[in-house]
Amino acid sequence: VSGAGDRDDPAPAGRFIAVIVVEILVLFGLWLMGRQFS
Amino acid sequence: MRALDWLVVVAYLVWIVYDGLKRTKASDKVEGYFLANRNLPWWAVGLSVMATQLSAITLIGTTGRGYFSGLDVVQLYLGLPLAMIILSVTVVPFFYRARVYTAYEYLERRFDSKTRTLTSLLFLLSRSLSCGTIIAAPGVILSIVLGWNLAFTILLIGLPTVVYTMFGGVQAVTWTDVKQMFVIVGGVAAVLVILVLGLPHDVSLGQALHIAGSTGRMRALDFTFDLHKPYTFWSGMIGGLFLMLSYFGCDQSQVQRYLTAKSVKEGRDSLMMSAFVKIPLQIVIPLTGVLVFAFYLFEPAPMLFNRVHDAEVRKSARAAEYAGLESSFASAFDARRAAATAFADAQRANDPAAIERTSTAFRESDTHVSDIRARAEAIVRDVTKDPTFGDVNYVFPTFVTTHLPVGLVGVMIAAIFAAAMSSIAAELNSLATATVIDFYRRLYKPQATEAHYLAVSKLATGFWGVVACGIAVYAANLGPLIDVVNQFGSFFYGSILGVFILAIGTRRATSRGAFWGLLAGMTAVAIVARTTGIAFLWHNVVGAVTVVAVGMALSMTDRGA
Repeated sequence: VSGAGDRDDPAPAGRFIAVIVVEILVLFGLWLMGRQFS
Repeated sequence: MRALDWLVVVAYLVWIVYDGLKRTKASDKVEGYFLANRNLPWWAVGLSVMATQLSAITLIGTTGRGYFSGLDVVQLYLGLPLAMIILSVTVVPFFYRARVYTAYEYLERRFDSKTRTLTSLLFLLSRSLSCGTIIAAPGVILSIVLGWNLAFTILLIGLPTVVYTMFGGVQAVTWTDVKQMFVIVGGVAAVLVILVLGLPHDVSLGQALHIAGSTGRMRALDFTFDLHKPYTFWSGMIGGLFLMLSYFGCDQSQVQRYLTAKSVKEGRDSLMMSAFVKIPLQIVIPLTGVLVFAFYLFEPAPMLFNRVHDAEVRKSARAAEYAGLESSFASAFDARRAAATAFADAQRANDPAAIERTSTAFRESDTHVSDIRARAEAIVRDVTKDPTFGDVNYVFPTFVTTHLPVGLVGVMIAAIFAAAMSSIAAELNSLATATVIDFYRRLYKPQATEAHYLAVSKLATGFWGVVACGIAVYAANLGPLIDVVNQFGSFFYGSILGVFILAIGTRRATSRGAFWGLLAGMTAVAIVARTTGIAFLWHNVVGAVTVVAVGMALSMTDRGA
């Protein structure tokens, strides 16, 4: 796919990993909130 | 609304129109008007991306849904972060380097002119209707809650937006979006503070959330794999991923946001902002609805929040039955309030047996209140002959206008206006871009001056503004608004995503495969929507998969021939 791993504009892999980590934390938080307040 | 509230709303409108019109000078060429000379910072583009998606429908409909069902609607956004990562790697650098004005322009280079024409036409059709809905929704609700004339309300939202978008172009859209985003977030934050302060002194926020949570309202994630449920973890993760890929990657109203960024990096960063912030923001909005529910456990709530329908039933032949129901509602409400207080007391005493007993009693009393409300709604449907009637969209505006302090009512009404206007402005600007770039300049007048195209672009923006306001005036009985808009979008979104997957994802796809694949995808979605009860988020998957499958099959036969 064009654009991926491009030398001029390398994809910010660290930021992508951060997004996934944040989403996992948010999902865990939502799950915990559902358990805590039910 | 009191004078101070009016003053706040008028001041907001004047400020936004002035701020938008200030950008007119910087929009003196077509590239400046449509793409801000590809020179905007990532944070402004990122806020504009979020403001465009967060419409008044999201604000009003999602808080209402939070009141009645809780946080489950958050699941719609679960696929968004992953979609943003995929788009950052694929379409952002792709479109940016192709130097296109519209996403559909690229399809002509990759396939042929008829694929571009069809996808751009579908965009014009779906976005103009959705733009009308986005104006109509808050228009209908505010006119009922505030007692304003419907046409006046629609014009009050639509006209200023058309004016600044028409003259200021995409720069006006983006910079007003930034300010509008702050108005929206500030308004919601103020409401949350008022809600927490409005709880009884002996009921803490944690206890209120426990009480609301005992009815399932705090359960945001539903892991059951049921294709018929609108919002589950799986429909959000899979169907939502396809929806977000299509909306942010193939819909001109969003693609145009990041085409205005200074560089590929800034375009990516603008999408990353949504990837980080969007889900937390979308939790706060239905959570506000849950807190409104908790607030109305202790404060008198109307049996129906839609006062116009309420008044209509009182004048009808079923008025006596309705009055009887209202009296039952008052006693059921008092019983529920007592049960909620007992539940809070048990929590404070930290007595597990009492918590269990009072929790069960509260749930029973809440079910009783809900049953009475359901019977009242059935009477409304019968009297008004409106089978789609629902009270969901009237909860939040009613709370705002009856329980917020003077001045803050104006701020929140301005926030609802801001949510609507930010989405409308981006859509009008993108509708004009597709009209001028994909049709007018390509098919009708390819060799004209910059000044000519700029004038036509402004006229096109004004034209779509008038069309959207016209659709809004005639749009009626919209039902639960957020679902209407998302369901309508899902009819096209998945199929258009399929075409872009064929275009960008493989070199083997041919133009014949893409064109007929697109038609097959939309037909498949129409059949699934009409003949099965499969929830709308899955329609995006059906559309995209059908387009790719049919498109690849036809492409292979082309290559074989």
